[in-house]
Amino acid sequence: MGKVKFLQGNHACVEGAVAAGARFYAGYPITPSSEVAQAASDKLPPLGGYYVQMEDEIASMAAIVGSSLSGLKSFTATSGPGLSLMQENLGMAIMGEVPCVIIDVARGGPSTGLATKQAQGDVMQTRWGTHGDHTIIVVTPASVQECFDLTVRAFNLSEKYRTPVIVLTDKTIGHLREKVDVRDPSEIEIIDRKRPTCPPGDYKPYRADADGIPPLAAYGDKHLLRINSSMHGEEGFINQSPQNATALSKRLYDKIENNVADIGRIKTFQTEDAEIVIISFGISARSAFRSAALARQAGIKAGAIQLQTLWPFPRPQVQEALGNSCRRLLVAEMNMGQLALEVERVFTDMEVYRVNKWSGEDLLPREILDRLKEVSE
Amino acid sequence: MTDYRDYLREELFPQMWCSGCSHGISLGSIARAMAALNLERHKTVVSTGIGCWGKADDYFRTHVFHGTHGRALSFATGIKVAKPELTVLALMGDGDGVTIGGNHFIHSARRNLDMTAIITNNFNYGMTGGQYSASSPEGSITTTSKYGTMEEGFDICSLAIASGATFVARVNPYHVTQMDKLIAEAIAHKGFSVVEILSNCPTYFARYNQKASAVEMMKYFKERSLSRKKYDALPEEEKENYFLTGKLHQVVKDDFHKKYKDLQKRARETAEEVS
Amino acid sequence: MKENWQVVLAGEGGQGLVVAGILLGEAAVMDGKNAAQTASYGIASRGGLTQSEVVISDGDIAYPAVEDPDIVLALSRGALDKYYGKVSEECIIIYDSSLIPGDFKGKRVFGLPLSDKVEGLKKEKGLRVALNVLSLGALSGRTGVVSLNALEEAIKKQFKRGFETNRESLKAGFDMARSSCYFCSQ
Repeated sequence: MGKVKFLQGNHACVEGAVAAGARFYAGYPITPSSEVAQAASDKLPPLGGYYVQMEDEIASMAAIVGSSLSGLKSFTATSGPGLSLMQENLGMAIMGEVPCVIIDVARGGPSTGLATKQAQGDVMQTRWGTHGDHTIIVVTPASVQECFDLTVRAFNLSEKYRTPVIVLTDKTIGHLREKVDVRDPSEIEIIDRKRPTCPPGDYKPYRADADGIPPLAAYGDKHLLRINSSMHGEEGFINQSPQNATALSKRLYDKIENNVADIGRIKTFQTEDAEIVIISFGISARSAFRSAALARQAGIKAGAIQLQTLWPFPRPQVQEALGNSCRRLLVAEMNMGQLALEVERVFTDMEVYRVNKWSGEDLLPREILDRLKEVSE
Repeated sequence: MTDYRDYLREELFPQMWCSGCSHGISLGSIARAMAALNLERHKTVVSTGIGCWGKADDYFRTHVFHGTHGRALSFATGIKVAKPELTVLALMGDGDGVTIGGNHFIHSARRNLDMTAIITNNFNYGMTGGQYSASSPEGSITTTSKYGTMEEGFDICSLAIASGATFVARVNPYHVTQMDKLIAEAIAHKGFSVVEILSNCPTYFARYNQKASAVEMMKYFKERSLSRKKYDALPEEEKENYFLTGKLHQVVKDDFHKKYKDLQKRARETAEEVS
Repeated sequence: MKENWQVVLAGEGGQGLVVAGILLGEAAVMDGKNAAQTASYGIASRGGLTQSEVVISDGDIAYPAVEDPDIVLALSRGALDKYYGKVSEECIIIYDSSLIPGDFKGKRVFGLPLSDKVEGLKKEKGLRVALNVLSLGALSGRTGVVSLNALEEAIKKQFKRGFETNRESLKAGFDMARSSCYFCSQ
């Protein structure tokens, strides 16, 4: 049976990771994510797991890739500046197809910017931070319960699609304490990576099944693993032929983008008859839901959508949620307009408005309400 | 004894390195050390970075990891911590090992994780066209130091010892028997071990500096490598012209896992007390 | 009884307000309610205006931070100035009258000599009484937002040692506030 606790978002992420089966953490402390490291250093060793404090975020990301390949579900946590350093080996994990989870507790940037303050400026860093054509899965909790639930989900997606997954929270959610049901592993769905079933001699670490995902052996198995961050063929040797480069990049892209129906998830509030719908994520979505309720009292037919999956953008889910009466969208986020770019790109037939804040403070319900009133006139 | 060829993918030969390059000798030496220790291939992982020597993993019939530049030890750290029963080797050049990866190198030594770093030091970046690295001696002529470098190079072994490595050796490609023996000893050593292999880059560094052929380079290494006793007997001003080779350092110390097991035990006891 | 409480605990860094907020939230959860706690403080761990916010509700908590406070505990002049006269008349303000001299009027503004009580208990019984815990007792006694029992349980969970001292501090604050209890006088 699970336990009801009163926890910080950062702690709930660790509880979620442990419930999902994670037994390895490597990281470098950074505000406002350090409580994730602290909780991991406390929780993992008694379970026979490992907490390793690395010399920087580059090494942290590398270490969780290595440990995952040795067969332990692995994670790290950081904030914007640390995620910038992790981008090199995040790309490695995408190219090498290594499951692992990165928790990014966002803060104000760029650079050392507003180190102790709130922001949602990592929307595009999580999507496009590492170089080259690639795609990535990012989940975005808006409550402490979701920190637990979506970290479990992040591990599941990571294992299922053999790819790194980012859990993007922010300073407010990371430090927010709420009631959370820390579910027992027996009560939740836990997905483990596909393992090879062929004889060891036939194993090719990058030969994909029909679903586009290759089974993954572990170091120490009789199935020899050849992991490669360079453009490679099925056996893991470098292969730079134009045909191979075209096919491999496409497979890595398709295995995620073709499964948005499975990966995408949203939470809706009064969208059925809404004429204007707020699209938001993370803590701003809490403000959005509240402001939609206040707007209804003021006679505005408003609804709200929380993106629980930020990337790939959950287009089919959002499209389905928007009723026939919706003609306007309001994108609420704590940055100068990053998610808005994607919403504008996807919903060309709608009027897309923005409400932004980048002062280091949370976007408040009444601020979204004011903007709703403004665009509803 | 196992045949060293079992650890190699000879079907992929000839090796990709330039003729006269000493990397092939180092590759054979590592395979012979593996055979001497009778390592199980599926319990052995070779981690490489980027550079000429970063291609070495292609030729091993073991588990391998080929990742980003300078991070071979960081990936290896995760691999080894998560599965202590594996034998883990990180193969790096001087660029990978002590230049871009310098921070990981000193911290890996400090952590004393039971794995082996084999650094082929050819004093320059061969793959990108012969630029100077952190191990190029002052005054080196390279493609980015036409007028001679004005920075001093690292002494890799001294760096390793100062950082806490518990086994450190320097070898050269002429004295192959010594190389075989010391690599095997390094792998067998419980703790973080470092073997620096003095290497020649006939295409760039040797051509610009020693102005010598591959054969002359072999003679050069043979004549300039001295044991501790002979090296110490040299007049001080002569020392920079010679290489101190052999086993330079070994201490017995609890490795990372020995200490981590104790930590896990303490953590379990505390957790039980709390609940 | 109200279904939704927005509580602000404000004062200076080092007064233990963040811990007080955690205890208050934890106690509310033990009372079977939902709770959300947030904190804001400067770059340093000690000194400067520090504030811990707790939203307590019988139902779901849509927005987890305080929009319009129902209860303010002020343990410094700066904290009181931030809220006194700027919140609704229905908002209960409890302030430490031994730290903040002056005449603050309002039907729900209550000055309690919290720090004097702490010093008194230290002298009288030699107890290491903490202002934050005593103030929580007072908050419970005056508003009933959480039960004394739940606060005791929360403290037991939070602090491995010194439970008896904390229990006594809590009770002292509770009793002190009870004499002019908001609910008792309704």
